[in-house]
Amino acid sequence: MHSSTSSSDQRRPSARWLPLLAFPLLLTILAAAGLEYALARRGFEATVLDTPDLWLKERARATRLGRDGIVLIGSSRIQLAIDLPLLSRLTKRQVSQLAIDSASFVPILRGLAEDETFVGTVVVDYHDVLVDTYDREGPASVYQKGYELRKRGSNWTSAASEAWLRRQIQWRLRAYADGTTPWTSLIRRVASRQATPQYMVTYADRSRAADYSRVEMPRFYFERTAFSLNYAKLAMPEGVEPAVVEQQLFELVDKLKTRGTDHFRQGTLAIRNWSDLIRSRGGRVVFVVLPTSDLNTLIEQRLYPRAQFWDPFAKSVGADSLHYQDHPETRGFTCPDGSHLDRRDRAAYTRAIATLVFARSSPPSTP
Amino acid sequence: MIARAPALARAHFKKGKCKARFRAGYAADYAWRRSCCLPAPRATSRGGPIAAASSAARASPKTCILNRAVATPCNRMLFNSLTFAVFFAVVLLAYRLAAGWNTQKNILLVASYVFYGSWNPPFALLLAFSTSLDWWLGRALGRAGDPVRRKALLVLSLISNLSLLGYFKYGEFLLTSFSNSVALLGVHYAPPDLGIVLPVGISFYTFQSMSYTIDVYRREIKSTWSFRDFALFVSFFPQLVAGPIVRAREFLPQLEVQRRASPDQLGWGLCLLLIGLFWKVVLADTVFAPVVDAVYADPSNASAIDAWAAVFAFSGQIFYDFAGYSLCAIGAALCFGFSLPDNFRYPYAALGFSDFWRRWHISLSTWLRDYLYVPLGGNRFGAWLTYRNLLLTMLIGGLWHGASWMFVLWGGLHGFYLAMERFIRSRVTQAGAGPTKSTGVTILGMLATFLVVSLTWIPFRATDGANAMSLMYALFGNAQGSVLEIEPLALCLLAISASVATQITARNGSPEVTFAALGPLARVTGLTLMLLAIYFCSGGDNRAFIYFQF
Repeated sequence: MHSSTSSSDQRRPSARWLPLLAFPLLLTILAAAGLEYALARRGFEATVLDTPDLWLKERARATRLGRDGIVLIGSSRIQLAIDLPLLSRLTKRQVSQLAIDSASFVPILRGLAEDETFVGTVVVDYHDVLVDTYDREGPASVYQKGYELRKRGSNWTSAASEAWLRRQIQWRLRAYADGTTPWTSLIRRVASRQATPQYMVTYADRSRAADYSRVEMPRFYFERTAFSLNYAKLAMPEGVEPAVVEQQLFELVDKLKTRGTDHFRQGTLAIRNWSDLIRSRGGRVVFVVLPTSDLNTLIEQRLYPRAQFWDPFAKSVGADSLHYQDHPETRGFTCPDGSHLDRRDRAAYTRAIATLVFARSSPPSTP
Repeated sequence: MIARAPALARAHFKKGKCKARFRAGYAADYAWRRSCCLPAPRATSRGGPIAAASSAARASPKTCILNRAVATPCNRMLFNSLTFAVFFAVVLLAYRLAAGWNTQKNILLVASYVFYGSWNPPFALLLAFSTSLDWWLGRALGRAGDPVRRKALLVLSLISNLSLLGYFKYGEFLLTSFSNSVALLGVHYAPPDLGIVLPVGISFYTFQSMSYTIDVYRREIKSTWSFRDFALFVSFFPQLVAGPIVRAREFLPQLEVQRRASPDQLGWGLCLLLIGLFWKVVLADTVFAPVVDAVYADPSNASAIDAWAAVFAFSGQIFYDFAGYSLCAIGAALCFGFSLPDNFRYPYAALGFSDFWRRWHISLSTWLRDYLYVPLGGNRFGAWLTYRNLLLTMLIGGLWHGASWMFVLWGGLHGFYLAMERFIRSRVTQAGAGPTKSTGVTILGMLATFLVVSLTWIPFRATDGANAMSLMYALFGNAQGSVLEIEPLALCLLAISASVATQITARNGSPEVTFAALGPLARVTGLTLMLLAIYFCSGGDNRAFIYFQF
């Protein structure tokens, strides 16, 4: 078809168009039902989708929680590590999950600091690299900008109704599970024999839980490590010994060079200012380094040695800080993929955080 | 001590940019970034700190006008949204059940304001203000006989409309440009952040409204006494936010007699909606947009093939996006029994640039011709003034698209092409040579036009001059890397080739006749494939129509 199609009645091709449309509609409904059936047979379930709209709602709630609210910001590590209902029970406070997958905590912290009505406690999933790149725009900046724009706009817009309608449909259909499209579901989950099982669950409170026993190890771990090294693709042919791949990864890690500290120091100052703003209103900020394992720990140590980055940051930022290596309660956790906790560890880690951050009057600072 | 790893293992890692892989959470994040013109993220949701920083690095500061326009994704009732589907069904049902033409018009007017207000309710008041003013001025113009008074009323209409447009659309741009200009003279001036939100569709309804008062002033049409009819003409929801720009002489007469779509009209209108959605959702958003986004986000790492693919992909994206919207508008209007004018006519089969502008965004190009180019003098005062008028018209046409010098550059280039073409044609005519009759030469001419038009889209799409230059270098560069995978690249090139070939083949025909010539089976098959494609590409995100920003 071409774009010069006109609505003029004189040029309308003659046909009984309404009955003609019924067949495509019926066939599409049948195709959708067939895909749902095939996905169900392969064990896939419909999921909550962690959409920007869900984040915006949670962000608005974070401010409403007031002084008793606990707000978690950061990226996937804290999304997977904290059991929100449990933390809420242990601390007797309400918890809001504002972490964004693959994003920086910095714009969100800045947004909370500049929001004069926010007076709660912020738990930051700290990463050295994000302090070092504190002034770069990224997805989190866009989320924050979206929140500010929405604050200026009306509370009822078509965005709200669209989000509601999408939830009604997409949260109930397997074809959209985990935020994908029916086409990707068809190709990657139905047609592929090597489909990655649905190992992760997203909850309506935006927290997540990953069951790493469902994925193929050590391939998954290698992929995650390669990703941390900025390698997009890992092709592991059949028959190659995992030790060979691990050795190769180890060699790549060994080549990493320690980053400079100048920009990091500027980032520290900026973050300190935002943290001070929150604290000056009676709020609280806690910077937490979550557990990592194996090569991922090594990567972070090579790029950002603790003595040059975390320790000076913790000293000068003024707020509370907690490194997992400093406390027996958090030291023993292992991340199956090197970077994230398994769902079986969520409760224990949440208890540890509740004890270290909230049960004690002031958490022990990093030496 | 690190042992040397075997060469075999080294080959297991491929250094490169993110390729979209399927992981939980990835799509939602990707959707957000895509809808905000940010580059594609790394290919996993398990992105740790380094991944996040890497992603942030690529998502460099954007001054992109597209970004500004869609920073609140899904805030507009898009044709490809579930909200619109429900809204449209409810309005259509109410319209068909309503007794009496006045009631039906009232339903459409209320629906149009709900449609517009669903984005940002206060701006419905702005629309109402602009409408009331032009209706009142039009009525006063219709009654006035004194030429001076008539001129004063027209000037008042132009000033008020252009002031609204100027403030909301160009306010910050003018301040920033002023600040940059005085900075060159060593004067530091930091413009205040006005925090102006651009009302969606303001350029469309302002032009539509202005054309009415100008036509009344010229006595080409009579002013309407019905405020309701005029308000419906300005706000008719199928074309309110992105055109086609309808003239009062085309629309107001349709409000005089009751419109009720026959079942066949309704069915054909729905078919047009379906085809428009297919263009938008499948072709523009799924086939072309990922290629464009990936390359424009990181042109310095793009190979020459990537860069050329992005250039042609954007040609496809903007055409199927905008033409898809227009087709949806035409289809939706037909469901209510209204006819809207064509907005596109095989633009990539154009032979030369004047031909291109007879085929691309026809409602805007004819508006600019009738209300800008002709009043400037058109071609009536010699060659050089004609060139000046062409250039001015296209510069303003470029600026109409957005408050950015990149759009001005794009418009200026088209003005230059039009002037050059006119100059060459006049020389050829003076030399006594006629137009070629060779089919091969004609097709080559069309392809050359398409090539230049595609390259001229670069400043239109680029976020800023540096981004445009970077892509231009990439076109002739020899970068070793690649930001595109082979499948989307091949699909995109195949789709744009097929699109251009189809447009060239059918450039003189009528698509309706072509469609009518298809048998029932072919029609059903075509519609079924389109609907299935829309379903399979659904989810992810609702990318805003590009032309909503203008």
